[in-house]
Amino acid sequence: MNITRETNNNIAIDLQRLSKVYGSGHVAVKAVDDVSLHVTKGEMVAIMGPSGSGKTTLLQMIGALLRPTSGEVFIDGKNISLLSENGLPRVRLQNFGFIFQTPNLLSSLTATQNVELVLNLAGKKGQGARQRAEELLGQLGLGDRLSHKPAQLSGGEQQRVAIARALANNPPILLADEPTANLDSQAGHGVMELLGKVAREMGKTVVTVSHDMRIRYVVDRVLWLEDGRLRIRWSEGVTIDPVCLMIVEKDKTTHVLEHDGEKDYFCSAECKREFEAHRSKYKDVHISL
Amino acid sequence: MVSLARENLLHEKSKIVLSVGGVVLAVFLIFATTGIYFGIVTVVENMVLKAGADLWVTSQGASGSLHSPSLLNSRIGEELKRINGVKEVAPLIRRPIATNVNGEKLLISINGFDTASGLGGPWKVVKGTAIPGKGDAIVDRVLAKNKGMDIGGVINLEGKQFKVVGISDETFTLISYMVFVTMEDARSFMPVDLTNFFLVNANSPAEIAGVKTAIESAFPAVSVSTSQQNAAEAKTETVGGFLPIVLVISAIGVLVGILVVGLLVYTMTIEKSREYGVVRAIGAPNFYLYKIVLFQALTISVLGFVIGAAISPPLISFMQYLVPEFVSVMTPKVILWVFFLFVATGLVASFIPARRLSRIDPAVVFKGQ
Repeated sequence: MNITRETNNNIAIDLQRLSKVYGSGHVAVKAVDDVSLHVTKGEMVAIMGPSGSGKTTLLQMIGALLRPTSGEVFIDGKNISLLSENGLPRVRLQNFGFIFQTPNLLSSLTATQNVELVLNLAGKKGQGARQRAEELLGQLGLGDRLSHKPAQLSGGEQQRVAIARALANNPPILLADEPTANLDSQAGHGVMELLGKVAREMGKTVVTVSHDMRIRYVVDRVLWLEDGRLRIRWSEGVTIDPVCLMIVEKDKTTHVLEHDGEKDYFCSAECKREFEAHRSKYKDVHISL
Repeated sequence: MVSLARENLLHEKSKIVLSVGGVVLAVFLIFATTGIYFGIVTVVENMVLKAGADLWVTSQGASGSLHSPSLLNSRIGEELKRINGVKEVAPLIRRPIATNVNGEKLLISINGFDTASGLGGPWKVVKGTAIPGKGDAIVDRVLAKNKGMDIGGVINLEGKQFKVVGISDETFTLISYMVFVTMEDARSFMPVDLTNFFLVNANSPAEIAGVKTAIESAFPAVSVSTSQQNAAEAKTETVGGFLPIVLVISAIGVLVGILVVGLLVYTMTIEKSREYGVVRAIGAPNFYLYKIVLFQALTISVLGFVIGAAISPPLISFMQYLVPEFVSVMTPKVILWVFFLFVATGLVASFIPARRLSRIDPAVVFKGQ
C-alpha cells in the first residue's frame, strides 16, 4: 500500500478502488463497491442516489470515520487508510468540517461555545477562539444568536451553527450528509445556498450527500451512486424517477408522463402509476432538466 | 476554553443535586461510623494516657482497659514505693458492675482513685469538681444527661447513695459509664482487699526504663508497661473486634458513593452518547472524552465530600444532643483519609462510563434522529 501518492497537486480527495463490506459469508452486504474518484480542490460534488445505495458509507470512509474493507483514501496525497485508530481524530480535525443530517449541536453549549469547542480541540484557546467563533456565526447571520442554546434556535439556525462549526478550523474539505433533510423547503434552500456561497468564497472542497434535487444547482458535479457503485455522471440525457429516485436514461425508458407542458420519466410502469395516483406527494421532487 | 464536562453538569442541575446529596449521605455515614470508632479509641486511650502515670503495674498480661482482668494484692503498693527512682505510687480500682441506677440496670465502671495524687481520676471534668470526697461521685456526662442528674443530685449504686459533685466527659465507652469515687468508697465494691492497678511515676523521664526493670525484677508475677504500651493494648482489647464492623459500614458508604456517582455519570454518558459521538467525529481524541467523565465524577465526589465534611460536625453534634450515647470524633487525619477515599471513588466511578465512551461509534452521528 502507498503511504503517499504522487498526484496532481490540485486533487483534494483521491479514492482508489474503495469497497466496504458489512458482515461476512452469506449475510455479507457490499455497501460500497470498487469506487474510484478524484475531487479537485475547491470543487463541490454531490453524491446522490436511492436510499441504501452506500452514499453515507462512502462519505464516512472519506471522512476517516469508517475504515474501508479494501481500497485507499488519499487526502491531499496522504493515504489515511493506513493510519492507526489514534491518528484518525487529528486527521478529521485538520482536514474535514462535518455537517450532518441533523445539526447535532451539543445541547448544553451556546451557539458560540459549539463553534469554539472545535477550535479548542485544535489547540486554539482563549479570546482568539471566541472571537473567531463569533465572527463566523456573524458571517452566517447568527450575530444575534450567539448566546442561544440549540433548543432556543430554529432548525435552519441550528444548521447554520453546524456550518460555522464545520468551518471553524478552516478545514480544506467540507463533508455534508443530507444537510437539508430535516429542514422545511425554505430553510433547506437557504442552508444550501449559504453552504454553496460560503464554500466558494472560502475555496473549500465540498462533498455532500443528498436526496435533494435542488442541490445540483449549487454543486459543480453530481455523482450517482447505486448499489454501492458510481453509475453515471449527471448529464442532460439522464433524470431521476421522482418516485423511487432511480436514475433513468431519458431515451431508453418508455414510461413517460407528459403534463402541463413538462415530462416526467419513470423506471417502471409501477412508479408511473404511483406518481399518477399520488401526484402531490412527489411534487417537491419533480425534475425538469 | 469551553468545558463541555462543566457545561453538561450544569445542564443537569436536578440530577447533580440528587447525586451530590447521595454522596453527602455516604460521606456522613463514613464520618459517623469512623467517628464512633475514633470516639471509642479516644476514650479508651485517654483512660490510660490521661491517668497521669509513667508506668502501669497490672496482673500478668492485663492492660488498663475496663475489661482488664488485672487483680493485685493491695500491699504491693507500699513495696513499690521503696523501689529506687519511684516518685509516687497510686492504687486504681476499675470495677465494672451491672447495677440499678435510678431504676434502670446499667453497666457502670466504678473508678476508685487516689484523690491525694489525682492519678487515675477524671481527665475532663465539664462541671463541678475533679476530686470527690467520701460519699461523692463524679459521673459521666452521658449518664448524667440520661438520668437527669446534676451537681448536688444523688446516684444510687448497688444500694449505696453518692452525691454527684462533678460531671466528666469522654468517659462513656458505648457499653459502660464511668463513675469516679474515692479509693475508700471503691473498695466497698470489691469483695476482698484487692486493687486492679498501681500507677507509678518515676522521679524523672530518664528513670522510667530503670524503674520498670526494677519492678519487673522485684515482682516477677506482675506486668509493667509504659502508658503508651498500655494504651495500645487497651485499644486493641476494646476496639479490635469493633474495627471490622466500622470498616464494613465505611465500605458500604464508599460503595454507595461509587454507585451514586457512577450511575449519574454513566446515565449522562448514555443520554449524551450521540453528542459524544459528534465530538469524536469532529476530531476529539479518546483522552478528551475520558477527561470529561473523570471531571464529572471527581466534581460530584469532591463536592459531595466538601458538603458532607462541612455538615457532618453540626449534624453529629445534633445527633449527640438527641442521643447522648453517640460518641463521635472527627480528626483531621480521618477527614484527609475520607477525602482521598472520595477522590478514589470518583476515579472508580468514571471507569465504566469511560469504557462506554470509548465504544461510541462516531459514525452514529450520520444517522438521523
